[in-house]
Amino acid sequence: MSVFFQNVCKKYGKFQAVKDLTIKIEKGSLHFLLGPSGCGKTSTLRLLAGLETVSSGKIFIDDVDVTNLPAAKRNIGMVFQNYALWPHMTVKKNISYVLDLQSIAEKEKQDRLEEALAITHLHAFQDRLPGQLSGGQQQRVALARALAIRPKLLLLDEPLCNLDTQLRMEMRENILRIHEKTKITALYVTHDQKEALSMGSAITVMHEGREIQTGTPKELYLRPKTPFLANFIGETNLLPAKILQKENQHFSIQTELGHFTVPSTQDFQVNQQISISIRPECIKIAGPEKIKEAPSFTLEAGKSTYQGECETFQLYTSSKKSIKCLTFNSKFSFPKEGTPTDCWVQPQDIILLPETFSGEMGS
Amino acid sequence: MISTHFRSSLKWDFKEGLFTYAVPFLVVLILGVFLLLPVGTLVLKSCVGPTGFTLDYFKLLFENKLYTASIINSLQIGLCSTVVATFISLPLSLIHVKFKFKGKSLLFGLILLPMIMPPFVGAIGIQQFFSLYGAINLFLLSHNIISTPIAWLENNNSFYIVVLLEALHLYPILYLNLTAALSNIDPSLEEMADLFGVSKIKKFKDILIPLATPGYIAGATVVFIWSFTDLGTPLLVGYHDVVPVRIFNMVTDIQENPMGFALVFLVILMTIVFFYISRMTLRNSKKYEMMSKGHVTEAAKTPSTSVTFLIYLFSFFILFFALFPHASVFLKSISDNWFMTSFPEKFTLENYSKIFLQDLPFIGIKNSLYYASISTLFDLVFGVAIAYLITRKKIPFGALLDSIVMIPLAIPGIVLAFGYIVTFSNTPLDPLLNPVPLLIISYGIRRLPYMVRSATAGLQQTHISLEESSTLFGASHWHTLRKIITPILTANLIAGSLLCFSYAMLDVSDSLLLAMKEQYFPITKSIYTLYLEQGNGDVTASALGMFTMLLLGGMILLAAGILGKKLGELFRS
Repeated sequence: MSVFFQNVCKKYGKFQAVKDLTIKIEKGSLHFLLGPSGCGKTSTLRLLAGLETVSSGKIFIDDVDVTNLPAAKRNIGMVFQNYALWPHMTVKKNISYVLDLQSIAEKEKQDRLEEALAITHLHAFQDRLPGQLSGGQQQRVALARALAIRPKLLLLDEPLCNLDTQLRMEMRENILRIHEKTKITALYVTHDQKEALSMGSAITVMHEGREIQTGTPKELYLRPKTPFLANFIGETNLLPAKILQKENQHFSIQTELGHFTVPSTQDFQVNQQISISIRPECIKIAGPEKIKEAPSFTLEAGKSTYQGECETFQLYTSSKKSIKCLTFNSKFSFPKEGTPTDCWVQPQDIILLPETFSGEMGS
Repeated sequence: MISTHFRSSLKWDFKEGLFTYAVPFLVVLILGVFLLLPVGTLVLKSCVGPTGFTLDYFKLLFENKLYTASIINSLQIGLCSTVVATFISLPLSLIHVKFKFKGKSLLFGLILLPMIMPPFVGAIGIQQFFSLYGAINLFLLSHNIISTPIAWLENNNSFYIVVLLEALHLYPILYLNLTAALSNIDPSLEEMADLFGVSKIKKFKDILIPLATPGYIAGATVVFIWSFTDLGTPLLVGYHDVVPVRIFNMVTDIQENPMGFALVFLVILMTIVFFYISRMTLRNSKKYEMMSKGHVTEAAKTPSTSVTFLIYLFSFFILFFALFPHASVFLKSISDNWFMTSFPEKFTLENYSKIFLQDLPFIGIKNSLYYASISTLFDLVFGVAIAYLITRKKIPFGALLDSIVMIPLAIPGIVLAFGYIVTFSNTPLDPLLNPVPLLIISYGIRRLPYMVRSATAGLQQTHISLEESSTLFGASHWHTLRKIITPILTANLIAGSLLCFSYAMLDVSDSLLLAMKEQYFPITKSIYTLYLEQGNGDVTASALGMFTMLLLGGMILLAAGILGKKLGELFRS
């Protein structure tokens, strides 16, 4: 079951929550909508569920226009952030209640109930009220109820945000297992980038109601298209730069760190002011392993923070701009504060971004 | 240095200990003497005869058709008033929760207004309109719609008038409870049902009703008990075959006729049973309390113009009927010799000047202001102290103390007043000699739960860290109480005091039973006495009733202004 949002807008009075959204969700994928609070991701999910009406644009499910179809007729299962379990009904009743609304035989209802309980490992809790369950168990009941109706689509609205870290890890595994087993197309809303990067087969990043970029987790991390995205997904060092020359998708750029010749799939004009993003782990402090051809530059050493498996180093450019460097299992002893330090970066690890940025980016 | 610090901490511990243990002890002592003792005496007297334990009084009670009819009538009033109040409040609550529209706050503020309008005052207006030669019959006769006057207030008709007056007075209690219960239902529970295709009726029946039932039962119990034990309305409407009026009439010959004890015992028993059912329902509903609300969409939707019109129409229809008795009292209070005409022919404000010039009404005003002020002060001091102990100090039996101070809610005024007369006759507190101490104590005790609840709600909403940080910066507990806790609680304390004061001013049962000499009459007893007077007494009674309502209404508006809160929110804390 695939989904297509075509130029979808949603307005609440004068406030535009979703702006001209066009995305495609592939059949069988676990597609994530990722973005900071208030970016329009939950509104998008609710538009797809039919709980909100589209202001303009269209939504297709399997090429069928469902824009004006009532929620109940879309055959969608949904897990709310707070699970929305009916508190006066037992686990079993929560599931059987929705099955009773389906026009299916009694035997089929029983089979689906059993299957939903089995897939979410809830057999032992079927006679309990939701209030008598832990957060993780409640989340599984919500999932079981959503899956029991054999929906065409499964929508998950920040389903793990109320759980503690340990439980969240377990539930990620559970959701992935269930998705793997059911192969259902699912749209998952979260603001937790780690959740999206570790679980999603595709991610759409949203910001201020707009789609910023859609791609696989790796694509988004390694090839972000805007400074916002580079800063939002993982940590990065953003610096202003200028295009000096271009030749066969290789761009010669001038930055505060020096001259670099960098490959890029995006197109830029000579003299264009751009931004560059260099991930902290891509900046190396010069040592015996330095690659000969890699361009080097000198920065002033700042403080270092030991974090067990990795260590973060703070470095400064001549204009005192902070640059972060990350090393894993390093035996290297960091220079004293204020010491000039030679660093290097591989050109392909420098990401050229079309927009200039100003000040701090939200993350 | 060390010894000074030690001495000061020792001194503080002593003060703290005094506060922690003396307050609960005092409260239990006061409630023991002025609540449990009178009630216990009544229970004892109902089953102890000259020869010892006996159930004869109950046997006699149920054999006497007059009493059984009164019991049945009272139960019917309770039941019917609750049903009518449900039909009024359920649509109003649903409208409140489901829709947002212009003027909603004002409208729902007005809807609460009948709560401070005493129904027994309204009964005077009802008499003017619905008596045999009242305004309605005269209007119908003069327009040849009827040929003989209709006996609106005779026999069974007065039953319906009582039910209507009770329901129109008490529906705000049910409305507040239902609205709170419906608002607490997470909108996503309904949205989930929408997604699964649950029909509107099925959603209402299977999801909204079960989840709102505990809140409804809590409100319905209060409405039932209140109308079941209300003395003023049936007394003034003239429907005397009810338990409270029977008890009222028995006060004078209580030494000769022990049937009053059995009747009062029955009221206590029924009250306990109904409150127990309510408590059990609420306890069971605790199982439903679950995760906090997460991302929640706004439940209230903007209705179409036609629906908004219907909402206004329905609300004003209810308001018209709810305020009709009081509007008629107002009309009567400004009428000059309104007799045998369907509408007053002349208007005057002279009736209002009479309430200050004549002895009886002026005594009523003066006494009530005095009694209500002292009893409110009593509630304020003890209410805040108890609330503080319950929420902030881990005192032993804190939960028990909380339950004990709530008992007065379950004891009807008529029972308590009757108990006082029986228990304290021929003692220094004999109400026949001077009812002032007992009036103030009964007003105070019966309204203490409102203040405790009000202050507790405020303290529970205020994190203890606000006080702790003040203490950490070196402020004394007393300083923290004055500068941090009190300002934060102001809204709750004003709202609580206002409720206590208003209800004390409007108290009927205690006032009618305990104040036996004119010099001690509170407002309500003055109104009742004036109403029974020959001549123009009922007109002065109307003016006094209006004056009381205006006084209370003005106070509540003033408090709303001070608090910067909307009128409706004032009654919800």
